[in-house]
Amino acid sequence: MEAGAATATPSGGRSFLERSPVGRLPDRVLKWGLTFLASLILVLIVYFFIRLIGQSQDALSRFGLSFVFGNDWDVSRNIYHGAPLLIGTLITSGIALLIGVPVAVATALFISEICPRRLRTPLGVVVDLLAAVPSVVYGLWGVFVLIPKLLPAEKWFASTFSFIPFIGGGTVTGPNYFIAGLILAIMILPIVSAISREVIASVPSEHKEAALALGATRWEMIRMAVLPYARPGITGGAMLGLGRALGETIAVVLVIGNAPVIGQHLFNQGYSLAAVIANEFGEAQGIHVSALFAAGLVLFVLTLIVNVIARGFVARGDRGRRGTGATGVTIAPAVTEP
Amino acid sequence: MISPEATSKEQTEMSTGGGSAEQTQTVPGGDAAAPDASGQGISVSDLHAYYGQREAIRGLSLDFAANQVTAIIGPSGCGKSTLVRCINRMHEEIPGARAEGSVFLDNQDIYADRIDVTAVRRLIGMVFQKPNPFPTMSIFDNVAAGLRLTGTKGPDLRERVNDALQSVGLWDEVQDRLTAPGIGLSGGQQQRLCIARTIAVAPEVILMDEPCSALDPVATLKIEELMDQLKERYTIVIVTHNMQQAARVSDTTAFMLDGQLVEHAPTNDIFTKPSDERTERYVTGKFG
Amino acid sequence: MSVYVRPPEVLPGISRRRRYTDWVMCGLLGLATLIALIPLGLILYFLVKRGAGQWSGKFFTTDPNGNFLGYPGGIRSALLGSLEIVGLSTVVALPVGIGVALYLVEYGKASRFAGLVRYFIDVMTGVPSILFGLFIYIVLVLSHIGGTFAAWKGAVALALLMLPIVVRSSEVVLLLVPDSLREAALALGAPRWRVVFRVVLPTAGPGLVTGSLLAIARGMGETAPLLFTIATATGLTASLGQPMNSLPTQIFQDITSPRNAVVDRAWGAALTLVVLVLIFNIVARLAARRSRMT
Repeated sequence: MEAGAATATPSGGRSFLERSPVGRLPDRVLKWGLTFLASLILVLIVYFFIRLIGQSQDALSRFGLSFVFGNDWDVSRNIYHGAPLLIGTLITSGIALLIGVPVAVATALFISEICPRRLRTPLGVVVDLLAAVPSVVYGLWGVFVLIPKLLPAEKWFASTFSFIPFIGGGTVTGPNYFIAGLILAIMILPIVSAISREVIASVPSEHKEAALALGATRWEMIRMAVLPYARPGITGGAMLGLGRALGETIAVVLVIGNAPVIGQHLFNQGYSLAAVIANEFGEAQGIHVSALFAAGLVLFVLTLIVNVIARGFVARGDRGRRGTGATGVTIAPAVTEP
Repeated sequence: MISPEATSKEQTEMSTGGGSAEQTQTVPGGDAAAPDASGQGISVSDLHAYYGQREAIRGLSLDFAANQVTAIIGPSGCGKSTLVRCINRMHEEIPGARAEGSVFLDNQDIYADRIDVTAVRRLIGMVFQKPNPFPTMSIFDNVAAGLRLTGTKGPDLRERVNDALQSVGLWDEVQDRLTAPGIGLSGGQQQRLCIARTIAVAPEVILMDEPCSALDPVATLKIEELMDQLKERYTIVIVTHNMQQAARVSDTTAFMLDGQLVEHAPTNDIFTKPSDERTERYVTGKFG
Repeated sequence: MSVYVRPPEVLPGISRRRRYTDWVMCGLLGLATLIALIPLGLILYFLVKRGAGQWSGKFFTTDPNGNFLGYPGGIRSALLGSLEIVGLSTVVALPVGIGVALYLVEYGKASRFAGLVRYFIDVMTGVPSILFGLFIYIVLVLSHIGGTFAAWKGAVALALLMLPIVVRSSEVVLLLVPDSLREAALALGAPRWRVVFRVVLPTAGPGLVTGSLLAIARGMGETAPLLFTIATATGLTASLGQPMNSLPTQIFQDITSPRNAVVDRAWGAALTLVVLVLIFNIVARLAARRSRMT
């Protein structure tokens, strides 16, 4: 089976148990080849970071901190203070979390704990299918279905609740923060739901039984035994959803209005870090290009931080288990990658 | 069966131990059917239990006398755990599992059609093999967990938690750290915490499924002493694979084999002069 | 069977309030699940309603560079372009991804280096897709390697995006191959590389296929990495060294067109894209289920 295995020279040669250097070669090649590939990953990320910083230099050195905190993104005057981008990103992601996470967790609880067993897999599959829809299709649907259909309701809402700051009042435009946030909520739903489902499934049954044996109803059992245990994991899932929402480009750029201002009301237009890149990169020149790279850098750092914290939470949820032998939560199963 | 007239007013939990109950007119000191804090007997009648197609309990009938400790012994797989889980209707929580037959708690068949399962479980408590205090709750909250479900609050809640902790002999050890996490206690203390949690809601019966098998001998002894005190107020059923333990703690013992009851007799008789040959072989260690 | 009815003191029900709360909360959770399903239903509904009508022979055999008036053209170059570009990214991402996963499982289980790699892979899954496009733009387009915009550069960007998906799903599958199998092969005297290629990979095969199909489905739907790398090209080209069209970028462009006919085309193209993605997803799931049954 082995190359060069049976050379058995009596004097000073290799015994037939040793493999020849040639025989060992394929193993070595494989090992170092694979190690090289693995280290490629590390190199790539670091290299990306470095090049991105390099390209952002011009804009960052020209505008300094006002790139992030200043409120004046004006292409015609070549002034790039990106607060509208950052604020818009945060607003839309916030809306996405507010709407998406409760629905996702509720779905996860229902599928895992309440609905009949044979419905569990089908329901899970259908919810996960939301992740398969490409973002450009979300954008298409958002522009031609969601925006026109919700406009009357939005107008009614804004005028009826105009006394509430931000949420009410203001002129309602077709594309606006709310629509962007709503679509983002739908887009992060599958990932938050999938992670929550895994976390909920990993709650040891002994705790659920303890609650039931005390005479708890189904909902009381969930409240007593499932939710407190699953909280860190679910929080991690929500943060991963946040990371997804922060970085979503195509759907947002189509429905947020791309107005380089900080919208004062929920139903106003706005901008986001990812949207500005998609929208303006094609025709940008000079310092504008550098500013867009800088926006990408801010986005990168932001999503990086959120993701790192998120994985910390999910890991903490895992460690909270006390040696029950369960396999733990794999973050974002391959089915529902962001 | 809960009569229609009774449900016309707000149905509330009633503790049979003479403690308080919220929103009812119960006179403190007890109600008509249960004059004092003593347990009720359990009567199992022609019970069949299934895991899917497999019949684990095959037509079993057995009486557990009130205020006594009954031990259930038998080799692995004979159905002892299944039996107790049928008594508080936890068996049906397992997917694909079902039970048929009757289990009478003081002449009330808990398997009757309109019986509320959660009510049954409040009256028939369970202590599990592996101590399972709620990991995110403090010692106090663990014991209070069942009480809070029934709306007990404030000083009343505190009093009943303290009572429970005292009854299991934990009070002295934990009184100054009631807010510490429940899982910070030792194994034996955790199990006593679970027992306190179970008795806090004032059940009639306490089922114990191999409660000491995960504990060291010192902790085991403490719990066995506890059982002796608890039987004054509750009916206790203990499943155990440890025959010496059964001999030590129980008043009567039931021997099960292959999902059926072989013999049920006062503990002394079972171990010294069993009437069935299979019992004799088991208790003398010839198998199991 | 109950013998007779006893007064409630013996076996009282739980309070009506608690039963009511249980009923309401469980109902709310079910309602939320229904709400979660509505967007999917609506999207599919409108895709079919507005897109199915666009499907025709002409739709799939003409390029989207029609006249200003009249038929604006079909999606041929976009569809073929997508298949080519994603095909290339798959050829790049699969070997590299499975290779990294192999490294993590076969050689690096406990090492800190492997832990670091795993961490960075996780980081990569969180990177917004547009940043992959930016990266390739900086590295490959700005530097004018092989021209400016080219299909293969977009393919590389997509490959970067698909890579972490392939690595993670492959790692899970490779870990499932029992160590006893490896040991049995090694005990027979097989060298490590043979064990990997003759035992581990074939055993993990179906699972690897599933993970790859899902990664491909993801890659097909991405727009942002292609925006600045393949440039807009409506004509049909086969050359990967030139700008090329793709379904997502074509749809993206068409959405903002003032012409209704073009928007209609976008719906037809979107339906095509979703059908393609769903096919990959469904095949992946069927493959997964079949492999689990063996």
